[in-house]
Formats: sequence, structure tokens, C-alpha cells
Amino acid sequence: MKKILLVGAASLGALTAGSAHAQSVNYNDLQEVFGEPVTTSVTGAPQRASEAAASLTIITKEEIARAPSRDVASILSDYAGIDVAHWSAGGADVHVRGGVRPANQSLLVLVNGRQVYLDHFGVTIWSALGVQLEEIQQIEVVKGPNSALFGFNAATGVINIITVNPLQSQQLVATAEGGSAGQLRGSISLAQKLGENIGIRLSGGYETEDQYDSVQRALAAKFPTYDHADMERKEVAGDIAAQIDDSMVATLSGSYTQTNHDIYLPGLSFIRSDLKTKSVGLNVARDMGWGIVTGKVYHNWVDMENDQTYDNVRDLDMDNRLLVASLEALIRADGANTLRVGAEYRHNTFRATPGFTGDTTFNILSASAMWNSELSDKLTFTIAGRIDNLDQKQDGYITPSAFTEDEYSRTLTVWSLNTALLVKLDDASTLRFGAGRGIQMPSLLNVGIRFPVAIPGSPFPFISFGNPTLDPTVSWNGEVGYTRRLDSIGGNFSLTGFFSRTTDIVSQPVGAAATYTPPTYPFIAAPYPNVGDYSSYGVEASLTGKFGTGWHWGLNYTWNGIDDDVDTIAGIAYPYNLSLETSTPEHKVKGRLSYVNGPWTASGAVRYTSSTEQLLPVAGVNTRYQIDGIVDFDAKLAYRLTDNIQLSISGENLNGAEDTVFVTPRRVRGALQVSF
Amino acid sequence: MKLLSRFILALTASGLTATVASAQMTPDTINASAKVISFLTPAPSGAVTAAIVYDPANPASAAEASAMESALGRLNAGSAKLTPKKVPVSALGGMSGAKVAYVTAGLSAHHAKIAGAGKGVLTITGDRSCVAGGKCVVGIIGGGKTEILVSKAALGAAGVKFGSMFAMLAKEI
Repeated sequence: MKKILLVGAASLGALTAGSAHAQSVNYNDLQEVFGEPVTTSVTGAPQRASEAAASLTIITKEEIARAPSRDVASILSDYAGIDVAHWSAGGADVHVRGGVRPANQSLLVLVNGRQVYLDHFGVTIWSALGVQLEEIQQIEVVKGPNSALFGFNAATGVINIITVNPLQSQQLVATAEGGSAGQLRGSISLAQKLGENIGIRLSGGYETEDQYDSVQRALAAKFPTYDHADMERKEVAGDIAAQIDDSMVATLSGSYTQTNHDIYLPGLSFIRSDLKTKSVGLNVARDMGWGIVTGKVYHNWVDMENDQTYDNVRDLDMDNRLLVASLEALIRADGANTLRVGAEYRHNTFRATPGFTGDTTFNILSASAMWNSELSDKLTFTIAGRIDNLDQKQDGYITPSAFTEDEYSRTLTVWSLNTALLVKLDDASTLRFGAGRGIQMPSLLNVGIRFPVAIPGSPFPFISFGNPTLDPTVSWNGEVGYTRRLDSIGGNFSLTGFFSRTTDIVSQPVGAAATYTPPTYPFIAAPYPNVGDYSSYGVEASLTGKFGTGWHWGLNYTWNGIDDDVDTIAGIAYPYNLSLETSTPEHKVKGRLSYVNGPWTASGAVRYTSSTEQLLPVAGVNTRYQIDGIVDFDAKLAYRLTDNIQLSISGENLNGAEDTVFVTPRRVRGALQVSF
Repeated sequence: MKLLSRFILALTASGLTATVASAQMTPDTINASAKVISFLTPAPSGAVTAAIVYDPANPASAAEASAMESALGRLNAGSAKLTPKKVPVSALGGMSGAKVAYVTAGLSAHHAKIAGAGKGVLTITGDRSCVAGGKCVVGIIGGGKTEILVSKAALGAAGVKFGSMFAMLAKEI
């Protein structure tokens, strides 16, 4: 470990020597120059959005400012191929291309390239991103596996949230808002140069909201001891960015978040989670003339205290520590060829109380490479691959256990791949053929939990065991995309057809599947299993445009079919709490319209979601609960009193549509925003 | 699916095609050019003279030069302040002291002479032929999807360099 850190430090040190020509990604200026957003989230190399080697959506700062949405998950809900389920106040799930279930494991979420996805739980808590809407430069959504660049858990997609760079943009925005359902939010974000070559980004936010009535009713009905509590979120974050010289930029980052709310679990039940996350990181990039060398190191600390008193079950506290150190070189071989080679080390530990007395550890060494080649004026080919070598171990092993100590120690080597061929049909149109293989590692909890639950009247407890022999979930994806720039409407048209196959889905332990029982074992246990596969296929079509003065619009349609093949247990309906086929809406039509003129901004978003059947435990039996097709809409009206002061009123799900088994309430809020 | 197919066909057939690019720079491409200058390494700072090479006898060239002069006077290139200076193609000695030279359209007969007029000068144009001929360093072609062309030959001859991020996004010819 020490050796690796020393190598990493030496590598970072090497970046400080050498010649010089550099800029980091200046999203603002590059967008202005090329007339469209740019990204590095597809291959690691900078690419224009229209030339990306994957199905990509970039949501710009301007689009975020116009949207009526109040958080990142809600903003994403307006775009094609994305399902967003608000299960509770603060608790949301975002799925790319279907497979809807609570606590989605397969979508990797990052802030400025640092993962905010929680490896121990295998989920992103969307209330704990540590980012204020007002400081987001752009949100990049890559649909389909992208493990070849990002590694584990980018199995169905990646969302990379980019904040403003204080060396490139300066702003001070403070927002205070309040509204129905106890909504109260305050945020402040500052990006400021402190000198010619140093800048600082600082932000903070506080939010509270009443828990949904539906969630309160459901929990109160099930658990006599249920004690209602509202959602609360607190967070601060910041960067210090320094242009060391013409060729080198260093950024020191930190964040702290604290959230407290009910989280809906794959087991179709809630826990109240008090989640604290901390992060520090250093990113150094140097332009070597022939390309860019980037060294990155960050550490995430996650403390999650899960209060399960609803269930008269003991509390479960979980700690997760993640250290990531990486070094990569992006090489401009010539005008037509770009290469990227990289190496990464990840040290990931998890400890649960109660549980084993030591850490569950994943040590991962990775090597990755990418080659992008303009084969001709018409053809561009990209291929990227990555190999991850995972060393898994369990300290503090205690008995009794469902697995031997040796079974907890294993080494896995997995590979991932992304490739694409872009065919430029004419100046305005591109055809894209892509394929990818993504890997989703079982969460640390899936592997290392050991959580006993007393069974009333039984001398034997039920022990929820992680399974150290779980197979990683693998997603294969193939797609064909067509994009066309439409100058006459100032927009774009895109159409993508995709097919993906995901194998070895992981489910939570199910008592009925208990294979470890007395008298052989002094407990009842059913460790986390791999329970089956599913296919997702469909079409995503998007059209955007502008008209008149200040009018912007977007319209998209998604058709998404799912075929799942999940293990069954005779006599038990949906034993693994999975019904991906019925819980994923087959049809979605979404539209958004905004108008900005002088001091006025008005916007609206409307979504049609076809009917689904979501699983709901009724008297202990999983039942398919029909959610009819719905239309829900959001709206915003803002007026700028002065150049610096704006008043707005916004609302989400204004018609109170029944969107999930726990209906997202109609929420209206008013806001005062001061910006400089 | 049938509906979608019809929709695509309708879009394709509806004349929603890309706008034909002009050889002249537009307000948008002039704005973009200032950003392009900021991607030079080392990045320029302070007052930077931007020569605008034009042909007074060519009304289109003269008009483009006037539009450039007006626009560039209001633009910064990163921390550099651009100072436009019109230079007749017949008096290229006027480029002296300039770090950047804008080449208006209609000067194809003079591209070689302009390229030879200054070592260390970044030449920018909206005229694709100047870049394709290896005489102008950067071509910014608007009128549809913005194309940023960089001539490898002209870049080497001028002795200027761009940061790698920009270089990887621009199309090198």
C-alpha cells in the first residue's frame, strides 16, 4: 500500500517537471468555439457532443437554469432513455435504459470525475451529491456501459456532473426558496479568482422537506413504532484550482454531505438512513505538448447509520472508505489518432456493525487503453478496453458463518470494452455503431455483510449474509445511433436503437431461499444470490430546437422493452423482489419548452409515462401494483427584478400524478435568487 | 416503428439541411476566434495586436475587414486585449508587431505572401482554401456545424502552438 502511494506521489511529482503547453478542459470557451458542448466522459479524450462515440446527452448550465426542476434527478427525468423514480422525500432512483428497481446499482455517478456512487451499498444517494444546481457547468449522461473508461459499476451508464471551474468562470449565486410540503432550501455557490493563477469554488446548501404522506402512511401501517422524520440535507464543497504554469493545473477538492431520510431498498422496504460523506482529492494535469498527463488521487469516507427501529430490528451502521489513485496519459499521436493509457488503484473497505469485526476489502488494480482514429473524412473508429484485477478479503472473520474464511479471499480479473464506428453521412448527419461490455461488481455489502435478525419464537436467528462468491453482473450492449443537425430549427435530431443483455443480477437474501438451516448450522441464512438475467431493448428519439426570440424546446420518445429471466421459488410470488419487465415503463414521451426574454423566464416540462406494475408487499406477499399511464408536468415562472435579483415560482408534478407506488406529492415553491 | 421511419424520412426530405458555409467570417466565428487565440501556449496576455489583412480593391474583403475591426475591438482573448489593425494586402509590412493576423476572404492570390510575412504570427481565416493550402494556421468555418481547421504545415511554419485539449478537438489538415 505504502509502495503504491509512493509510486503515485512520484508520478504526480513527475508532472511538475517538463515542458509546457496546457489548458485543462475549458467547457465554456470550447462550447463557444465549437458551437456545442464538449465532453471527456465518453473516451477520456475531449470530444464534441455531436462526435461522441456513445449515446450522449449533455445538459448545459443554461438548460439547468431554465428548467423548473429543483434537483439533478428531476432534471434528468426530462431526457430520453432515463427513468427517475422518487420513492420518498430525498430518495430517488435514476435508471438508464430500464431495469427499474429500488437502489439502482448499475449507474455510476460522478462529480468532476470523482465517484459519488457508494460502493458499499451499491447505490447513489441523489441527495448527497455535494453539488448545488447553480454551480453545475453541465451534466453529462452516457447511456450504455462505459466500464472501459470508468471501471466497475458503469454497467448501464455514467452520469458525470461537472461544476464551474473558478479559473474559467466567476460567479456568486445565493438562492433561498420555500414552498409546500415543508420545502425549504438555501444554497450559495461562489467561483472566484483569487489572483491571476488561482481560483476558488465554494458552495453550501441546506434543504428540508416533509416526508411524503404516502411513505408515512405505509410505514406507520406496517410498523407501530414508526417515528416520522422529515428529509434533511446539509452539504459544503469546494475546490482550489491553481494554474501552476502555462502547462499545468492542479485542483484540490473537498466535500462534506449529511443527509437524513428514508431510503427505499431492493427488499421493497424503507430504512431511515443518516448518511455522512466526506471527500478530499487532488487532480494534477499537465500538457506535455504531445498530450496530457493527469494524476488523480481522492479519498471518500462514508458513514451510514441505518435506523431500522421501524422493524424492531437492531440498527445497522456501515462505514466505507475508498481511496482512488490514477495516472493516465492522453496522447495525440497525430492529427488523426488519439491514444489514452491509464492505470488505477482502488482500495475500498467496508465494515458493518453488527457484522464481522474487520473490514471487507476490495483492492483493485486496473489498466486501461483507448484508441480513437479518424480513418478518413467519413469514418472514425474508437476502441477502449480495461482490465480490473480485484483482490477480495475479509478481516475479523467470526463464526458461525455460512462461508469459510478462505471463501472470502479471492481474486477476480474482469475485462470491459467499448467500441464505436462513426460514419459521417454528410455535413449534418452521423451514423454510429457501438458495442460495449460493462461490469457491475457486487457491492461490498453484497459480499461482506453479516447481519443477524432475531426470529420471534425461534432459538435460531436469521443471518443476512453477504456472499463472497457472487459473480459480477455483466452487461453487453449494442446500439445504432443516427444524429442530424437541423439548422433551420436551430436544433438536433437523434435516434438510437439499442439492445443490452445483463447477466447475473444480484438480489438480496430471501428467507424462503434459505439453504443454511439448523441443525447443520446454528442459524438460518440465505446469502445474497445471483438470480438471473434480463434483456433491455428499445428506441430513443430526441428532437430539440429554438424559435423566435428566446424560445427553446425539446421533445423525446423512448420505447423500452424488458425481458427478464429471474429465478423462481415454487409457491412464492416474486421471491427476489424483482419484476423488471413490468416495472419499466414501455413508452415515455417527454417535452420541454422554455422562453427567456428580457427579465422573464418561463418554462414547462411534461412527461407521459405508460403504465407499469410495480411490486408492493401486501400482507407479506409481493403483489404487482398497477400504476396507470400518467402525464405529469412541471412549470416555472421567473422575473428578474434587477440584473442581480430574480424571483421565481416553480412546481413539480403539478397535477399530482401517481408516478410510483409512493406518489410524489405536488410541490410548489417560491425562490429568491441573488447572483453576481 | 413505421411512424418513426416516416418521421425521419420527412425530416430528411424537408430541406432541413446544413447551411452552406461562407468564406467570410461571421460575428459568431469572430467571437470564436478570440477564444481560439486564448488556447495558444503560452497564452497571450496584455495588449495583442490583431492585424486584419484585406484587399481595399475588393469590396467583400473590405467589408469583412471593417466588420472584423469593429468586433475585435470589443473582444478579449483570455487575459489578452485585442487591438485590431487593418493592413492592406499590398502593405504587409503593417503586420509588424502583430501576434495574430486575420485573413479576409478573396485573398487567395496573396496567401503565400501573407504566410511569409510573419514568423510567430497566428493566421486566422474563414477561407477554407487558405488553411487547406497550408498558408493559414486556423480556419473557422461557420454557417452550420462550426468547423475548426488547423493546418499542420502552417502551424509549423508560424511556430505557434496550441494546448492539447484544443488541438485534439480541432481538425488537423
